Amino acid sequence: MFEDFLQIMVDKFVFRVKPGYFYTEAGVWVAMDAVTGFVRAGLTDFRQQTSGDVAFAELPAVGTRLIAGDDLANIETIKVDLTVAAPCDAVVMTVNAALNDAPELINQDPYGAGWLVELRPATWPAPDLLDADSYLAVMMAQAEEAN
Amino acid sequence: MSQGTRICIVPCSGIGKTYGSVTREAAFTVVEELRPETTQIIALSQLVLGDEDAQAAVRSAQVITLDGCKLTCASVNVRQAGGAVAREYAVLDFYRQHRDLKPQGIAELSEDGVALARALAQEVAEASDMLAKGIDAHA
Repeated sequence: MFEDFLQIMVDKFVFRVKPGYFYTEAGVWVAMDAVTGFVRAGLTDFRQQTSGDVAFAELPAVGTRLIAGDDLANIETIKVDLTVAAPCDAVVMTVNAALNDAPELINQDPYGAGWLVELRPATWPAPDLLDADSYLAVMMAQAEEAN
Repeated sequence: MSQGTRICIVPCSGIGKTYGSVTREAAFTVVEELRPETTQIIALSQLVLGDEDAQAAVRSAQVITLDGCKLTCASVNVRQAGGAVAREYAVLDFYRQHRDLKPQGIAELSEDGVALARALAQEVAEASDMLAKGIDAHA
């Protein structure tokens, strides 16, 4: 099931990156839906694994206007309280209501059912996002530094 | 109730983990304070090491496990030892029901952490009562 992902192994941990998605260095992925013109965003596998099991996810209100770097979501895990930064200038169109009852989806399926929000980006492609290969290199450096 | 038939409480052994500390605090509260006559603690480390007395205890008595993370080591090791888990608790799930009691600290739990452990202990104690009466604690 992992052949669709780029991945690295650091110590006993395997961290996966989804090809075709875009990324911020802070570990937020963004994927464009060409039909709707919206982008879906979530935490990367590396970010969720290093943050720990999610207890609660607080998402923004639909309609919230964000500048890249603004607070997008607050996620409380058993280890840390995370503030997730918006990956680009955008308006919040949808939030993942499933996370209200099952925030563990962020850990279980970070690139799928654990998505956080859908955004209407101000411009696309958004500036400063990384492709999967570039993020893999950034992630590898972050993982080795943390190890 | 004899030692052999007391309900076994098996908490997480995760040292240095806040949620593991909550399970141990809760387990000691049940066994030493709330239900000292009907429950006993089995140390997870004894099961992991293959201690025969510990294995015999979880095979012969009803077992309640308290897990600190999704690895569920307490439940897994009870089953590997041949025991049946009558009721299992995950601290993270319990905390989601008590968000006002955020546990912090490790060697010494925060006030909220102690309160969360206390609430968990109360629920475990009530579950042990039902098990002792032969009532399915899940019902």
